[in-house]
Amino acid sequence: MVAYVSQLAFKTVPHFGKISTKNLASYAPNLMLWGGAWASCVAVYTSGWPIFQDTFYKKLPYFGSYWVKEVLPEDKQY
Amino acid sequence: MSFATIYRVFFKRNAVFVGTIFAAGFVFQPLFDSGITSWYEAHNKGKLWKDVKAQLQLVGDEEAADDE
Repeated sequence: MVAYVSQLAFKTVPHFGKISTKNLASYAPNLMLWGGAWASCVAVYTSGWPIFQDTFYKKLPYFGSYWVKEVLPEDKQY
Repeated sequence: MSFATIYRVFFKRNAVFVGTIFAAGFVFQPLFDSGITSWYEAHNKGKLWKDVKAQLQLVGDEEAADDE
Protein backbone atom coordinates (compact mmCIF):
# COMPACT_ATOMS: atom_id res chain seq x y z
CA MET A 1 0.00 0.00 0.00
CA VAL A 2 1.34 3.38 -0.93
CA ALA A 3 1.52 5.69 2.10
CA TYR A 4 2.63 8.94 0.57
CA VAL A 5 0.86 11.86 -1.00
CA SER A 6 1.45 11.80 -4.70
CA GLN A 7 0.62 15.45 -5.27
CA LEU A 8 -0.80 18.49 -3.52
CA ALA A 9 -4.58 18.49 -3.63
CA PHE A 10 -5.62 22.10 -4.37
CA LYS A 11 -9.15 23.18 -3.67
CA THR A 12 -10.70 26.44 -4.77
CA VAL A 13 -12.56 28.41 -2.11
CA PRO A 14 -16.03 29.27 -3.43
CA HIS A 15 -15.87 32.84 -4.62
CA PHE A 16 -17.69 35.45 -6.69
CA GLY A 17 -15.08 37.43 -8.54
CA LYS A 18 -12.69 38.48 -5.78
CA ILE A 19 -15.32 38.09 -3.07
CA SER A 20 -15.26 34.95 -0.95
CA THR A 21 -17.19 34.22 2.23
CA LYS A 22 -14.08 34.82 4.30
CA ASN A 23 -13.18 38.28 3.06
CA LEU A 24 -16.88 39.22 2.93
CA ALA A 25 -17.07 38.39 6.64
CA SER A 26 -14.07 40.59 7.35
CA TYR A 27 -15.60 43.45 5.35
CA ALA A 28 -19.02 43.04 7.01
CA PRO A 29 -18.66 45.51 9.92
CA ASN A 30 -17.42 48.25 7.60
CA LEU A 31 -20.13 47.48 5.05
CA MET A 32 -22.78 47.73 7.78
CA LEU A 33 -21.45 51.15 8.79
CA TRP A 34 -21.59 52.21 5.13
CA GLY A 35 -25.19 50.98 5.10
CA GLY A 36 -25.95 53.33 7.98
CA ALA A 37 -24.21 56.19 6.20
CA TRP A 38 -26.21 55.42 3.05
CA ALA A 39 -29.47 55.38 5.05
CA SER A 40 -28.79 58.78 6.59
CA CYS A 41 -27.85 60.12 3.12
CA VAL A 42 -31.21 58.89 1.80
CA ALA A 43 -32.92 60.51 4.81
CA VAL A 44 -31.32 63.89 4.02
CA TYR A 45 -32.34 63.85 0.36
CA THR A 46 -35.88 62.54 0.94
CA SER A 47 -36.74 64.82 3.88
CA GLY A 48 -38.57 67.18 1.51
CA TRP A 49 -40.48 64.42 -0.27
CA PRO A 50 -44.14 64.23 0.88
CA ILE A 51 -44.57 60.44 0.71
CA PHE A 52 -41.42 59.95 2.80
CA GLN A 53 -42.57 62.66 5.22
CA ASP A 54 -45.95 60.95 5.68
CA THR A 55 -44.48 57.44 5.93
CA PHE A 56 -41.46 58.07 8.16
CA TYR A 57 -40.54 61.56 9.25
CA LYS A 58 -43.87 62.67 10.76
CA LYS A 59 -43.65 59.64 13.05
CA LEU A 60 -40.22 60.54 14.48
CA PRO A 61 -40.47 61.03 18.25
CA TYR A 62 -38.98 64.50 18.81
CA PHE A 63 -38.64 66.12 15.37
CA GLY A 64 -41.79 64.64 13.83
CA SER A 65 -43.96 67.70 14.45
CA TYR A 66 -41.68 69.72 12.14
CA TRP A 67 -43.09 67.96 9.08
CA VAL A 68 -46.73 68.32 10.22
CA LYS A 69 -48.00 71.50 8.56
CA GLU A 70 -51.51 72.44 9.62
CA VAL A 71 -53.29 75.04 7.50
CA LEU A 72 -56.81 76.00 8.55
CA PRO A 73 -59.41 75.35 5.85
CA GLU A 74 -60.24 79.09 5.44
CA ASP A 75 -56.55 79.88 4.84
CA LYS A 76 -56.11 77.36 2.04
CA GLN A 77 -55.65 78.88 -1.40
CA TYR A 78 -57.26 75.99 -3.25
CA MET B 1 -14.12 64.68 25.20
CA SER B 2 -10.61 65.08 23.96
CA PHE B 3 -9.68 65.56 20.33
CA ALA B 4 -8.09 62.10 20.32
CA THR B 5 -11.44 60.58 21.30
CA ILE B 6 -13.31 62.63 18.70
CA TYR B 7 -10.83 61.51 16.08
CA ARG B 8 -11.08 57.86 17.09
CA VAL B 9 -14.88 57.82 17.24
CA PHE B 10 -15.91 60.02 14.31
CA PHE B 11 -13.02 60.48 11.87
CA LYS B 12 -11.02 57.26 11.82
CA ARG B 13 -13.47 55.17 9.82
CA ASN B 14 -14.64 56.90 6.68
CA ALA B 15 -18.05 55.19 6.88
CA VAL B 16 -18.65 56.68 10.33
CA PHE B 17 -17.34 60.07 9.20
CA VAL B 18 -19.65 60.25 6.18
CA GLY B 19 -22.56 58.86 8.18
CA THR B 20 -22.05 61.46 10.91
CA ILE B 21 -22.07 64.26 8.36
CA PHE B 22 -25.32 63.08 6.77
CA ALA B 23 -27.00 62.38 10.12
CA ALA B 24 -25.97 65.82 11.37
CA GLY B 25 -27.35 67.31 8.14
CA PHE B 26 -30.66 65.53 8.63
CA VAL B 27 -30.97 66.84 12.20
CA PHE B 28 -29.71 70.32 11.29
CA GLN B 29 -32.36 70.95 8.61
CA PRO B 30 -35.44 71.05 10.90
CA LEU B 31 -33.52 72.67 13.78
CA PHE B 32 -32.21 75.54 11.62
CA ASP B 33 -35.54 76.01 9.86
CA SER B 34 -37.53 76.09 13.12
CA GLY B 35 -34.99 78.42 14.71
CA ILE B 36 -35.04 80.90 11.83
CA THR B 37 -38.84 80.70 11.58
CA SER B 38 -39.37 81.41 15.26
CA TRP B 39 -36.90 84.33 15.13
CA TYR B 40 -38.65 85.74 12.02
CA GLU B 41 -42.07 85.43 13.61
CA ALA B 42 -40.87 87.10 16.82
CA HIS B 43 -39.24 89.89 14.77
CA ASN B 44 -42.38 90.52 12.69
CA LYS B 45 -44.93 90.06 15.45
CA GLY B 46 -48.16 91.91 14.61
CA LYS B 47 -47.51 91.92 10.86
CA LEU B 48 -47.99 88.24 10.22
CA TRP B 49 -51.18 86.82 8.75
CA LYS B 50 -52.07 84.98 11.97
CA ASP B 51 -51.95 88.30 13.92
CA VAL B 52 -53.75 90.28 11.19
CA LYS B 53 -56.37 87.58 10.99
CA ALA B 54 -56.99 87.76 14.74
CA GLN B 55 -57.36 91.58 14.50
CA LEU B 56 -59.75 91.29 11.54
CA GLN B 57 -61.84 88.79 13.46
CA LEU B 58 -61.98 91.20 16.41
CA VAL B 59 -63.12 94.07 14.12
CA GLY B 60 -65.62 91.74 12.46
CA ASP B 61 -67.04 90.77 15.82
CA GLU B 62 -67.37 94.45 16.87
CA GLU B 63 -69.18 95.35 13.65
CA ALA B 64 -71.51 92.43 14.12
CA ALA B 65 -72.18 93.69 17.66
CA ASP B 66 -72.87 97.24 16.31
CA ASP B 67 -75.36 95.93 13.76
CA GLU B 68 -77.41 94.27 16.45
